[in-house]
Amino acid sequence: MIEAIKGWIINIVIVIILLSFLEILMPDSKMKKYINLILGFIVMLVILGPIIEVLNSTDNLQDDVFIISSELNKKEYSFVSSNIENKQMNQLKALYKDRIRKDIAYRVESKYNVKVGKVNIEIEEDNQERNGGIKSLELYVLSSEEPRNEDTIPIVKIDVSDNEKNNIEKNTNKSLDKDINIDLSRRIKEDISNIYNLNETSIEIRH
Amino acid sequence: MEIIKIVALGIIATILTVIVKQYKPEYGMHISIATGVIIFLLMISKLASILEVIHELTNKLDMEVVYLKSIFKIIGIAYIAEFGSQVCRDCGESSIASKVEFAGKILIMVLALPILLSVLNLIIKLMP
Repeated sequence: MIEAIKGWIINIVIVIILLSFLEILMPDSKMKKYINLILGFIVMLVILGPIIEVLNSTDNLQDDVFIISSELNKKEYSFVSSNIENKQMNQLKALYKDRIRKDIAYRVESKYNVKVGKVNIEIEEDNQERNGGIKSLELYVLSSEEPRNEDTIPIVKIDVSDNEKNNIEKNTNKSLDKDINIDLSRRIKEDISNIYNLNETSIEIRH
Repeated sequence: MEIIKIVALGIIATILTVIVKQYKPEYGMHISIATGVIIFLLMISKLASILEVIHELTNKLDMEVVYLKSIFKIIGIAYIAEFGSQVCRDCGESSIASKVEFAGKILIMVLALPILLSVLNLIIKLMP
């Protein structure tokens, strides 16, 4: 009994001397109060030591500290990894779009005598059945004879739905040219909709 | 004699900074950072010996070492954050300095939280 009390008192003395020594080492800053808080807790734990041992001998405080700190670490890592997953998904989507864009441009360029200027794609994301499918497609086609300067090329919007006649009527002076273009764009449209299993109305081709 | 070395270094660096600041204020900043690092490096071996002694002392104690490790880490973080924030403040960037201090506080809290929570758990368990 006396041995235990002796050990306890020595513990308290050593801890208090140690902590006052550490207090000298501490920088004089706003951090001091945080460190003092922790040091106070430790002095409290040492003084309470024997009582804690008597009342619950099974639980080890050290294990508790380890468990809590590992839980904190786990939370932090799960947060970081979810961030990384999101980033990866975004990169994957961008890569996927880029591949499709290149593929379409390559197909159209190799099959028809045209240059593809720009391909805009929207990908289906919320739809579960068609996830990853193409929602809508916008193709800027430059005919190969003309230089690839977009300023000089007349941009003619071709709406597939039912405005074709309107368009032609509006631009009667260039009707021959248009006819060829319309024919070409119709063929390109059919081709793309066959390959990608796409509704023709969601494809838009601009010259 | 070590203190004479360090004080001499400090005074020379201060004079240099004051002189250089008239012509190129940014070089004064470089000198002060370098001086701080040199003084820290000169003291680091002594600091290591002090920490070694404290470690030996704790072996005599039948107290958990976890706490002391966290305390050392906390003091180290406090020192480094203080150093960084003071350098920032010297250069007139007190907003960056306060951010550095903020990061230091958060890191200290992360280290202190397990101790706090385990004490809390213990007290709750002690209740009959």
